[in-house]
Amino acid sequence: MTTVNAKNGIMQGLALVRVVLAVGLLLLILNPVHAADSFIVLKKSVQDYGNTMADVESSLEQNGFTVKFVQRVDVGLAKAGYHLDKYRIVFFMPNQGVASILSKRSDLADMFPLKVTVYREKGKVYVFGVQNASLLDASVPADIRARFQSWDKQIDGIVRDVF
Amino acid sequence: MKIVLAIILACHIAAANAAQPTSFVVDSQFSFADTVNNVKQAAMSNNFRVVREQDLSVNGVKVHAIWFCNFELLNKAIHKHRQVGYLLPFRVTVVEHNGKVSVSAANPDRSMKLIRSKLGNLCDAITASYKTILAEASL
Repeated sequence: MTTVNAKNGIMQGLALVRVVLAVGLLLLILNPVHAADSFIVLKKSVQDYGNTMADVESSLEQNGFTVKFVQRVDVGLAKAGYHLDKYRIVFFMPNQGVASILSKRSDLADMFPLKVTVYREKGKVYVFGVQNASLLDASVPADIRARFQSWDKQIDGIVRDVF
Repeated sequence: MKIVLAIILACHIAAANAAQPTSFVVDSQFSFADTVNNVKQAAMSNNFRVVREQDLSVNGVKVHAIWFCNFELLNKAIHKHRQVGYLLPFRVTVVEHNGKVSVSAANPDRSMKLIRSKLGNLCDAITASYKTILAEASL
């Protein structure tokens, strides 16, 4: 009798483990990108807004990027009658590699310029960038993906190095 | 049995997500310059304001990006989720490569899933606007 109960207990335990594993696997796969948490690189700056912007722009230049322009989202919204604290998007181009990518895959033109955003919310200044390689679909060849990953690594470093 | 069904279902959905393209791309019947103009007209006729355009051409590939904005939509989206700014302002790109002109826009659904934003209907609205503008500019 005791043996039967013990067997039943083990069977129920195994069934529970299987259900938990199945649910876990399902949740993992249903999630479109498992590394979603690392898609955004977000850092809080201890500096004021102006100095953070200057730091980001200078860091981009030092890393082989050229700042093309800064979109002042807060200013645009203010002109339309809406309020938003400082929110600027820095658009930048890698100094090398873009021409080679676009000559092979001109449909990736939307990926450029790359961008980093600097915004202020409740008195705190934040910088965020994204991991662009995550946006590439399965048709993008490995060498192009690797190039994006290398830029992403630099962007990650630039954001994380903000004081 | 349940596990097998769960795996089959999960694989099916994962494959559907992986099939999502990086960008929506439509071939244009018009010249490069006309397509650029068409994009601007289509953006304006869909209640967007062109806020910036820039020539981003590189060797052998003509690229012209047009950024536009619907401030009401932008205001709603950015207050819901600060990182949505990654997608903004909206942008359509006209490309000419090997004599072929195309119009494209980044697939907002792909990045929205990555930031796990709960923009819901707003994301659908953005996607619908992009598709309308691409169609109006290219056909």
